[in-house]
This record gives sequence, structure tokens and C-alpha cells, in this order.
Amino acid sequence: MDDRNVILEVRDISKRFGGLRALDTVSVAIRRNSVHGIIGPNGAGKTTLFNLITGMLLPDSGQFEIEGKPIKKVRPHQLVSIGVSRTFQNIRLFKGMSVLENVMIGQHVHTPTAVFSIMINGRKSRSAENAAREEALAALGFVGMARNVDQNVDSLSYGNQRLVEFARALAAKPRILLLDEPAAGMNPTEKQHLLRLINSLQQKDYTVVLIEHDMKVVMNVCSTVSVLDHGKKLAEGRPEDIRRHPEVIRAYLGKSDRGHA
Amino acid sequence: MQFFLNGLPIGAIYSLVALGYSLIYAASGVLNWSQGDMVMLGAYVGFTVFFFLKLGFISALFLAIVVVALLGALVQYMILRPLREREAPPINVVIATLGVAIICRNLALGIWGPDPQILPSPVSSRPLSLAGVSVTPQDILVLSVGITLMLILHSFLKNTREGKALRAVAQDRYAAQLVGIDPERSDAVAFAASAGIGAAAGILIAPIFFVTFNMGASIGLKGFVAAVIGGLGTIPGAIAGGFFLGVVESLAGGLISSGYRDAITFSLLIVVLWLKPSGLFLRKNRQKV
Repeated sequence: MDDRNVILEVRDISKRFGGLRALDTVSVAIRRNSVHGIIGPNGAGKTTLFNLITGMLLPDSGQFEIEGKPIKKVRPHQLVSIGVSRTFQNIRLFKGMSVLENVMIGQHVHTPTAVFSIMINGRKSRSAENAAREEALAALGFVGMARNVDQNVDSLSYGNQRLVEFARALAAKPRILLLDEPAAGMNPTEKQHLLRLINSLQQKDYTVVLIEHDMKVVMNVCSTVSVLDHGKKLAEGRPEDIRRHPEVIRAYLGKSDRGHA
Repeated sequence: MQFFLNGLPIGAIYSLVALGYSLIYAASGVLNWSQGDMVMLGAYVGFTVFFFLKLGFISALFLAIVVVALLGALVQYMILRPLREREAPPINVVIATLGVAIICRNLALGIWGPDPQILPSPVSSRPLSLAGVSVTPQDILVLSVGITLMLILHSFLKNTREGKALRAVAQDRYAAQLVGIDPERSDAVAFAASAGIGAAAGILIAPIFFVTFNMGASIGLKGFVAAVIGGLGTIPGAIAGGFFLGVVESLAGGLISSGYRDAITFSLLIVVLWLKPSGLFLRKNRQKV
């Protein structure tokens, strides 16, 4: 594979939780502007991989590189400015705030202003605030939540909360977007909508890494799929090939635990 | 009725101190034992501004809030952040705040000496009779400044970007980080705000009680009791807890015996922890900050 085309490189990552090998020397290269699926049965280590990339957990060994630069010493809140943003398997919106507030908070980094200017509500802080608002509204418009901006997030349906989280991640203007089971809990119409969103993201030069249980979603949007099982990478390739891979069928597709986590 | 009213001003003070505990606890999960000493420093800074710079009460209040708030942010950045970066266990962080308290106390002893000082009240302390009960103008001042500060804090948390970031960190520290909020900065904001309201409480009680270097211990403990009774980590709980404690103390002092006042306060704490450890005034769906 052409190295310059790799935007995120996961190199020999291992992580143990006590005696459990959650990830065992896993390497994945994610190409620029691709939609990369990570699949595997429950407990395969998919979310652990995301948590390691975003610095919530520290790997026991191995490292991550973004565009060839290691991201070992980066603290989680600085990841956004490097261009990594994520959504969560179990939605983590800020309760008690409106849809717009939730998304605008995601632009904290891109609107650096002097504390003093914020205190006196000076022109600089106001124009930054307006720019943030525009961005947030654009992201909400993109996911189709423009009509709900002033609603409290607690009152939204599960599927719509997912869309808000999606918009929040987008508003941070990432280059790499990590989506942890974005389709979980969505009805078929919402899933269709989500598929279209992910497809149009690819056209907009984003790189998407997707954890998903729903094979229909994976087969439809992913250009490459990596399969994890018991912390090891089992297979990698185009979705059509993965579907026919005998080991994968044995470990994952053949089993009945395909339900949503 | 009279005892009830007498409890309100001191209740407002307890509320302010309790707010400090709850704000920091909600944001960073740390119990800040130097909260009471921020009250003490606020009183001393106010005293100094008043007597040596010869500025009025309002500027004393304002300057004390600013100076002590900066000190609070400094405590977070200089002492707590390095500890957390080394992944020190939470108990070490709490002990560090105790260290800050002891340093503050001894600094105050060194600078202002062991003699109790008193800050004159900007308003007269002669009681006014209103509809059969008497209140002093000082009481009214404490209550109104206290409530104003609570409203300012509320609007800060609700409407400003730093305030929203602070609420986000309090709810979900990790998710907040991943949208680009620096939690250490939010913690610093929480420490500054807490120290600032503590300092205001110090100025407000300075005309009523003597200002001494170790006044922080008792006022800090009472504020903590108020925060726990109301539900630690919640803003409405801290306010309600403070007023509740003030009124209970006043009733206990007036109707039973003022000698038993503290005993009753702390018995109340034990009873609350025993029967309803999440706090008296908490609704079911708790929302931090």
C-alpha cells in the first residue's frame, strides 16, 4: 500500500485488562478519504481500539501515527485540533443543553479568544461566537437536524440524538471521524439517511472509521473492512471478500450474536 | 419567626461556601479543603484594602474576589494539575488541598498576625423593626449580595462559553475532552469561581465575626456540611443546604441552647448521611452543576 495515502496508522497495538488481552498486536492502516469498517463479535476489542486512538486509554505497546506523525503524547482535548473526532456507542451528549449548544461546544478549539474579551462580551468574542454558531448550524443542517436547534437534547428520539452527536463531531472540523456504532437503535429510514450521510462525507474529503454491527451498513458504505476477533485482527479487505472469508464466517457472520450491543 | 429570619444571612454565607465545594467537586471530583481558607483570605484582603488602601467597601469586596479567585486558579494549575498529570490517586489530591489550607493559614498568620481584626460594616448595625421582627441592615446587605452572587454564578454557567464548558466537563469529562475542551482549564475556572465566591463570603461575614487566621476551619466545615446536606456536586443543593443549615442553626441556638448549636449541626449531617446520603434536596434525575 502506498504509504503517503495512509492518514491513520495503527501499529502493533496491544492492550490488556488484567488477564484479558483486549487487543493483541493489532495493526490497521486507514487510507485517506476512505470509509473503513471495523467489525467483529461483541468483546472483540473494537471500542477499545477507539478508546486507545482517542487517548482515553493508554496502549501497553505499539503506537498510532497520523500522517506519519506519532500521536503518543497528545492529550485527549488536543486531538480535535489534530483532526480526530468521534461519536460514542452509548450516546454522550451534554444533557440539559440545547441541540445548538451541544454542537457549538464542539468548536471550542476553533474559536480561541482572550478571556477578557469573553468577560466583557467584546467584539472579538462575539464574532467568534457567531462564526461558531454558523458552523454549528451548517453541521446540523447537514445531518438534517436544522429544525430542532433550540430543542433540549433530552427530548429527542434516540436516532435524532445520534444525529446530533454526529453533527457535534463534524462541527469540530475533523479530518478523521470515528463513528462507534452510529446505526445502533435507528429504524430503517434513519439508517438509510445515515448511509447517505456517510457516503456524502466521503465525497467531502473526510476519512471515516466505522464500528458497526449492522452488516447491511458495513457492506453498503465501507471501502475496506477489518475484522477483529478476541483482540486479534482476523482479516482485512474489501467487503465482498470479507463476506466470503471462511474464518470470518466462522467467527462472526455464522454466529447468532449479530444483535445490537 | 425571628430565629428563622436570623438564620437567613448566615445561611446565605453557608450557601456561598457550599457552592464553592460543589462547583469544584462537580467539575473535577476533588474535595477542596482549602475552601474555608479562601473565605479567610477574602476577609483579610478586604480588610487590607479597606484600611491600608483606604478604599470603600465595594472596592474591597471586588478586589478581594479578584485576588482570591486568581489564587484559586493558581492552586489548580500549580498544585492539582501536576498531581493529576502524574496520575496520583484522588486521596493525594484531596490531601494536597489540605496542605494548601495549612499554607494559607500560616501565611495569613505571618502577614496579618495572630490578633483578631474587625472590618467595620458599611451599613449601620442598629436593628430595624419590621412587622414585629427586627433585622439589621447588615443582614440585608449579606442576603442581597449573597443572592446577587448566586444569580451571577447561575448566569455564568448558563450563558457563557466557559460556563458551558464547565458544565460539559462536570457531566462527562471524557466526552468534553473529545470535543476539544481542556478540562484543566475548566477546573481552573471552577477553582477561581469557588475561591471568588468564598472571598465574597469572607468580606460579608467580616463585620459580624472577627477576622482571624484560622477562621477558615470552622466556616469551611460548616459550608461543607451544607453542601453534603443539600447534595454534594449540585448547585441548587448547595444553595438550599446552606440556607437550611443557617436556619436550623439559628432555631437550635434560639430554642434549645447556643452551646449545642454545633453539636446539632453535625448530628444533622450524620442523620442525613445515614438516611439520605445523596442529599436532602435532590430530585431523582440529578443534574450536576
